[in-house]
Amino acid sequence: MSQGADGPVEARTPQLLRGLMEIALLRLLRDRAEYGLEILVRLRQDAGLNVAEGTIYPLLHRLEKAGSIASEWRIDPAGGRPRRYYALTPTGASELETLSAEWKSISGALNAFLES
Amino acid sequence: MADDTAAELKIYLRRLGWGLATLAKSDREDIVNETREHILDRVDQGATLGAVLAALGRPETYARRFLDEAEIVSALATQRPMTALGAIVRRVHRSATAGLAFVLVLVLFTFAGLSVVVCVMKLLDPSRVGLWISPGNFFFGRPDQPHGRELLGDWIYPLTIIAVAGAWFLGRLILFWALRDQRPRN
Repeated sequence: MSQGADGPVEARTPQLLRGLMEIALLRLLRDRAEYGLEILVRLRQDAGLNVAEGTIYPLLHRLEKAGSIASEWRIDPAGGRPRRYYALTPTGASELETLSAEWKSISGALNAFLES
Repeated sequence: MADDTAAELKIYLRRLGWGLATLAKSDREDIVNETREHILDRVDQGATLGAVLAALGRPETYARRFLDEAEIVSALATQRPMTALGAIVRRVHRSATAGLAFVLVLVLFTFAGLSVVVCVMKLLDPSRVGLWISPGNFFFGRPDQPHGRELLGDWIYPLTIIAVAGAWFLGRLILFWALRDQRPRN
């Protein structure tokens, strides 16, 4: 998975990468609660997903409605600005385990096939 | 932030709020407030307001993403076929999957509906309504001049029930499959 010069990856291969952003996001929130812009930057830098700016908050909103993550407003101690922090719920943690196992199985089989 | 920039941000957020009008007030306010903070953070980092707004997209388009997500989550959570059908119909013009699902469901429901109509006709006119077969020809319904022999007889009633139940079951499967396929547009 890589960023390319052709624009956001999800714009080029939406079917293939659907859901991967969701796994990456859940994994990212497993460690600690983060706010939207922080999540966007880490998905781009750490997970290598060139996430379009206008897609991250609708995804967060959906995952919250589905019960996978929960949010709360906090005042950022550094800048004194209110920020909405997202954290993984037990439901989200369980989903992450399932999705990760599925992804590892699929990618493992595909890698083996590509290298055969 | 300069006055004209602040005014531009205010207009964007107001239009976003209008676009989210169908959501609950608390959700709408959370989204607008979060969008404001995101934009201000990005501007503090050195981005121009124009660039940040362009990255988010037109406020109506941006709002549409939230509505789409909310609608799909709601339909999947409630498992109501009519809610799912409504969500699919609203996506027919922009999704091949939704279009295919809509056509398939339409065919299934039409078939089930016609079966029920013929079944009722059979109750009213048992001797002439049914599935008529003659060499090189067949007719399902009530022919003006029956030719050949009628195949179903009273089996038409249980078969209609099976057809309706099957159409309902398959239709639901197709609708929710298509809806799940629409889900993460990320």
